[in-house]
This record gives sequence, C-alpha cells and structure tokens, in this order.
Amino acid sequence: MTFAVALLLAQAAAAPAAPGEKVFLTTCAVGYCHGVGGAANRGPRLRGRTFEAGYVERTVRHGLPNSAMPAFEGKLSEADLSGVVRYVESISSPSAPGATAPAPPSAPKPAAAMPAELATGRALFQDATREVRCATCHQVGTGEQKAGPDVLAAARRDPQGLVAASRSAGAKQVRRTVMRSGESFPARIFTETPQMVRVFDLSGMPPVLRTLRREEIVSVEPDLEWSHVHVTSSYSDAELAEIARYLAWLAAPR
Amino acid sequence: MTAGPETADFRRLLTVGWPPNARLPIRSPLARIIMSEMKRIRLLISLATMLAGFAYAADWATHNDWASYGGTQGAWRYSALDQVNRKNVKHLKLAWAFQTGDVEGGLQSTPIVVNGVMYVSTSWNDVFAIDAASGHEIWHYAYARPKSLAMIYGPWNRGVAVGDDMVYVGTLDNYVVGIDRKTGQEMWKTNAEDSIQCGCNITGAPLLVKGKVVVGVTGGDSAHRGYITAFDAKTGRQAWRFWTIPAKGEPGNETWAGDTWKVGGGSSWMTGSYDADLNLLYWSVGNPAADFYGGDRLGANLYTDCVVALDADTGKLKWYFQEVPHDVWDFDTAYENVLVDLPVKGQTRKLLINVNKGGYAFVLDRETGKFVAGWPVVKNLNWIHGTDEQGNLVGRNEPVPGKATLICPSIGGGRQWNQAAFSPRTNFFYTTGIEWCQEVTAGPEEAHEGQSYFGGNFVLKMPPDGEAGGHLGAYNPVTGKQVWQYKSKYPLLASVLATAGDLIFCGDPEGMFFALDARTGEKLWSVPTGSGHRGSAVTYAVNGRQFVATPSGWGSAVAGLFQQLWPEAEHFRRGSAVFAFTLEEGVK
Repeated sequence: MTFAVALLLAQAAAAPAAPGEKVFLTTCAVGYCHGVGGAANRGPRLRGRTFEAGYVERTVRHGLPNSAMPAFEGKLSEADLSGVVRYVESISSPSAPGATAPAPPSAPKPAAAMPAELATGRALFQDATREVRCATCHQVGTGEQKAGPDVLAAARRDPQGLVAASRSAGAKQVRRTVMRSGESFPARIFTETPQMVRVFDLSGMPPVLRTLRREEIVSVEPDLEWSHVHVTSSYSDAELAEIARYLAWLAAPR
Repeated sequence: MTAGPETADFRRLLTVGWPPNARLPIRSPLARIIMSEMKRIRLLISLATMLAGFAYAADWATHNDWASYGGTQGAWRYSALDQVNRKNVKHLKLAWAFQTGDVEGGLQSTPIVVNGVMYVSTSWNDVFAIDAASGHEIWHYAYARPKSLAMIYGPWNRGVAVGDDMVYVGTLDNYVVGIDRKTGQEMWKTNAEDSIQCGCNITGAPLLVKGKVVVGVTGGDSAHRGYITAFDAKTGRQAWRFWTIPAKGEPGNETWAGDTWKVGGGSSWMTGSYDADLNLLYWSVGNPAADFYGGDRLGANLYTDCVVALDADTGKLKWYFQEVPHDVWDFDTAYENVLVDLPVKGQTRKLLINVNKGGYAFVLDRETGKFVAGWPVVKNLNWIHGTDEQGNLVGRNEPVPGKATLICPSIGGGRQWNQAAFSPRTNFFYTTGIEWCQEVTAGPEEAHEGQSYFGGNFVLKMPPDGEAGGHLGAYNPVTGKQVWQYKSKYPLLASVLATAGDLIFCGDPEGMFFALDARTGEKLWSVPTGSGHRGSAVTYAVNGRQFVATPSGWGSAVAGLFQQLWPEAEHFRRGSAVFAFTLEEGVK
C-alpha cells in the first residue's frame, strides 16, 4: 500500500498533469465531444475558459441533464475522475480574484453499487435483442411514462410472487376498448379529461399512447382475455427469476 | 408526389399497352384498326422519348405546396413556381418573421407548407402551425420535454411530415408523435426504443409513405444497432422494422467479426425518398461503429454506408449498394437520395444520386442498385483515389491506428447533411461542399451499450495546399463536371433550394440568405437574417402569391466543430426564426 502511494507521489512529481491528460484524451476528447487539448469541438471549448470553483468537478461527476454531457461518477475510477478534473482546471484560466465558490447544489447520492450477480437480471430486463422486453412497458426509476405499472412497487410488495405475476398479471387494469370506427383493442388507461381519454394501446408492441375523443368511444370494459403471458412468452422461468432478483434489490430500501 | 395522373396513364399505356398484353378481347374490326394505330403511335412516342430524354421522366417538382421534407418524395428540392425569378428577385421583401423561442441547437427544420399552412418543428420537438401568408400562429404543440437524458444527438430536429389528418414528428427521447393537424392536439405517441438505454433518438424528419410514418434513428457513433421503422399513420402501431445490421443467421451478418454486429452503429438518421411507380422506399444508412477503428469489426460491415431499397409495404430489402465497405473514416452514406431520370450513354435511366459524407457523389440505377457513376464534390479528398466501373473504392487511405494520419475531408464531411437540389430546367445538380482536413488518431475502444463509441480522436486542419472554406456548385449530375461554383468563407450548412425562376437559394453561417442565378452562379440578392442558417429554405404559393421562406438559427455539432478552424465562430449568434419573403407590391 505504501509502495503504491510512493509510486503515485513519484509519478505526480515527475509529470503532474499526465494521468488526467491521458484520461481526457481517451474519454473526453473523442469523436463529437470535447476537442483534443480542450479545444472547441461539438462540446464547448475548455482551454482558456474560466470556471467557478467546483464547477468542473460537479459537471464531470453528475453531467448536465438534457445535454450531451453524461455523468462520469461510477464510470471513471475516483483516481481517473480527479485526474481529469485537475487536468481541465489546469488548462482553464483562473477565475477573477475574490470569487468565492457557491455552495454546491445537493447532488444526488451516488447509487450503491449493484452486486455483480444481478447483472444478468438487469441485462434481461432491458435486452435490446428481444422484440418485446420488460423495459418496453416498464420503467425502473426514470419516471418515464410507460404502458405498464410501476414494477418496483410490485417488487417491494411481493418479491417472491414476481415470476408468477409476470406470467399472469395485468388483466386487472387492462380494458377492452371499442371505438365507433369498429376498432377494438386492449388498453390501459393513462389519463382522462372531460373530452379525451388517453390510453396505452396494447394491441401490438411497442404500445402506443393514444388520445381518444370520448364521442368516438363505444365502450371501455375489463378485458378478461388479455394476459401478461402474451408478452413474457420469450422469457424462460429461469430468466424471469433472475429479473425478479434484480428488481427485488432495486426496490429494497437502502 | 410522382408524375401527375395524365403522365402516369400515358406511361401505363406505353408499358402495359394493348396487344399483346391487353386483357380486352379484340372483337371488332374497328378495334383492330385502332390497335394497330396505337402500336404505331406507341413506336413514335418511344422514339420521341429517346430523343427528348425527359418527356416521360418522373416529375418531382413542387407547386403551391411544399408537402414533403425534400419538396416531394423524390427529394429534388425544386419548385415549379416562377413568379419570383432572376429578373425580379431583387424586389423580394420581408412578408413576416416568426420567432419560435427555442434557440438551443438553432432551427434545423425544413418547414412543410400545405394549403397555406406552414408546419415547423423546433429543436426541443415543439411543433408550430403558422398561417403561411400572414405569419400568425394557428397552434403550438409543446412536447413534454424528457426529464433527464444524456443526449449525444441533439437537441435539434430536421422537420415534420404532414398527412391528411395529422402532423408527425420524431423526438429527442426516441418517440414518434402524431398530432391533430387542425388543433395541435397530440393523438398518439409511441416509443421506438428506450433512449436512455440506447443513447439514440430521432432527429430527422419522418417520411409519410402509403399510410405509414417511416423514421430513422441516430446512434451511428455509439455502441448501438440501427434500424428503420414504419408506424401506422392513423394508430401509431408499429408496421415493420428493418434492422440496418443483420442478426446472426441472416445474410450479411457474416460481414461482421464476432459479436460486433450488436454494437455496429448503422444509423439511419436522415430522411428517405420514395418512388411510387417502383414501390421502392430508398433510405441511406450511416457509418459503422467504432467510427475510426475497424480492427474489431473485420468485414464489409453490411448494411452500413449503404443505400437500401425497401419494399414500402413490408420493409423487406429489395437491393442495397454499399458505398464504403468497412468504413474507418465516419463517412456516412446517410444523406438524401435524389431520384431523377436522366440519359446515360443515350438511354434514359432511372437514377438515384446520393452524396456520401466523404465528399463523393454516387449515382446509382434506382431499379437495380447498380453503380452508374461517381464523382468528387470537393477538391481536398485523399481518403480514396476514386471508384472503378463497378463502384468499388480505389486507393483506400485508412487512418493508421496509433499514428496521427492526415485525412481530407474532415469528420465534418466533404458535404454536410444539408441537402442538394436538382433543376429539370438546367439539368444541374446543385450541392454544397466543404474543403477541410483533419489529423485522425485511431485506436481500439471498449463498447458500452448506448455510449459514444468512436475509436479515436481528431484535430481539424487546413488543407495542405489551400484555405479551408465552403462552396455551392452546379454540376452535371452524371459526369460531375462543374458548371459553376460559388465560394463561401465559411462552409454552407443550409440546404439548397432550386426554382423554375432559375434561382438557387441558400443561407450562410453568419445569417446571410441569398439567391444565385441557377445558370451562372451570379449572386442576385441577399439579406442578413441575424443568425446562421442550418435548416432548409422552401417556397410555396398562397392565393397566387409566391413566398420564399427560410429558417434562421445557428446550432448543431458541426457548428461547434467550426471553431477549431475559425475561432470567431464561438460568437456566432443563436436564434430560431422563420423569415418569409415575397415580391413587393406591383412587381411582376
């Protein structure tokens, strides 16, 4: 341990910016992101810019929402992350004298590392090679409007029953919707207003969020035929068990 | 829209004809006489066709409307309107300006105009319906912005598609939306793929074909597997999906080593074209990932950098032509496909012209996908020497991994996605081009699903023997012979608009909107609009009055890239407005 520290110190003394610069080159100055050496590119110029104290670290760690800048906390080792931050600060201009660092906004707590044995379940949940996968209808923690209910709530309530639930559940909330045009399809109601009903049309995959005018609707009745098993048939029981384990961990309070 | 009903009937008469293909029984002697006359007339017409060259060529000009992203589904970006022409263009005045307020990413849209209403999408996927004569807002659809995306591609949007009842747009979080055309009410919304997971989305304009909304997807510079998807225009249900990279067991998958096909890029990020007579949907596929490093993905990497022709009803592949096998330059084929019938060696052929991002135009037979001709759009091009008779690349100059290699053009392209135009009056192909180079250092990179996956970095450089800059030229579409070239200090990133008034319209990165003489390239008119042009001008008529309208509003990835060669571009002003021009009162 002390040998490694000594080595690091020796390296730092010899070439202070080198490790961070290398990480910058291979992680940040790629493709359409930042330019080599902090030059302008699709991402903004960093060289010669003035940054508020703490801004670079916050941005590298947590990214900028709804921009092309991702969060690197967890993606880079802590050593690499600090190195990159030091490098960017070294190529920037010092801020005006007397500037004080504003209190950093309360950053989201870093997610507890997922146990490695749950990686399979996670990959199966969002398996892009399957035409229909869990993630087609369910979101976990993103808040996105999706056709299916909150699967984490179900996992919290009854983690043991998840496999059975995914083979049969869903009929409770699914409605057979019949339209004046003659169209008839299974749907899950999303929102309603006096004039409109918004539903997730489940007749095909992916589901479609449709806005239906009330006067076009003939009836909306419980759909006794639709079953979750229609869309989970590509998963084996063993695969569903893996997914259930992953969801149970996600849902557990920490 | 393709040929008008009269031309189509005539063509059917010539091809299906009367005996020997006729289903009608030949009973009366009079009929027989008429039939033999028809035969003779048919022969004469065929002769005339060969001599005239274009008499029965498909007509993809627009008229009062600008109904589709490329003007019409043939992507000519050409209008038959000639009220505004070379003589009177200097009398164009501002009719109205419309500010969208959504300036991030600029305004990269092509406005669509149908029956006097203009529909335009903004960078964050708002859609406006505007009275195209007065500029007043009819409705504003505000898309629910995604909560949190790491968005490699965006924020920007290149336009909507307009059908009988609905307006369609693709979104930054990879949804397709159908909006009621009269009221702006959202009618349906469906997800093409989880954008947080795939790091991909839709930025190109949809194409409406046979009651289906067809969209591409981004992700070509990410660890992603691309696709082209069609949704039922009325209900939003998915009709078909064509994966641009074949799966294991499918033909073409063997052109990818190991499992690299799963993360091979192959995005379809621009808008296709459609030939109704052939029922072929043409779409262009982008580069393979990792862009600069091909060491892991040995093989031709189908169908990246291909023009694919799909059956419009089923999405099944009819033919493909790969412009750049095993691309290691990020030279997408993704741009527009201009459909045009032209004589080649004395015989009229149905052609398709696609300008590859590497600054090289490919001319294909759009019935068969066979290579017809290829020609450079720029002077500074060192990644190949050219093409042979079959369209194979000759003299590949690939980046050497680990070593800074000079490649021209740069990653910005010998041409950007802003589209070319074709004029059936001059028979010229009008396209922009960019002279610039770069030093690329390629190297292996680990693929992480949904994250950027370039395999190297680059530094922009001036061309070794000249200045960097842009131009807009008129070329013979088949031979590539340059007729004239208009030079621009900065690369031009706006599409070209051609009209029957023999005018060429375009806009520059400082906001100058200008008109050139289509025959000589002489600048006839210009007006400053205050923010650079990154979208596409259109022209249309309302109650007999012609308007020329252009988006203005600077943004995009390449706008950032500019700054490496032109540092002053850091201060180019953002904006997001549509400016509509018309002739002064009393001017003819």
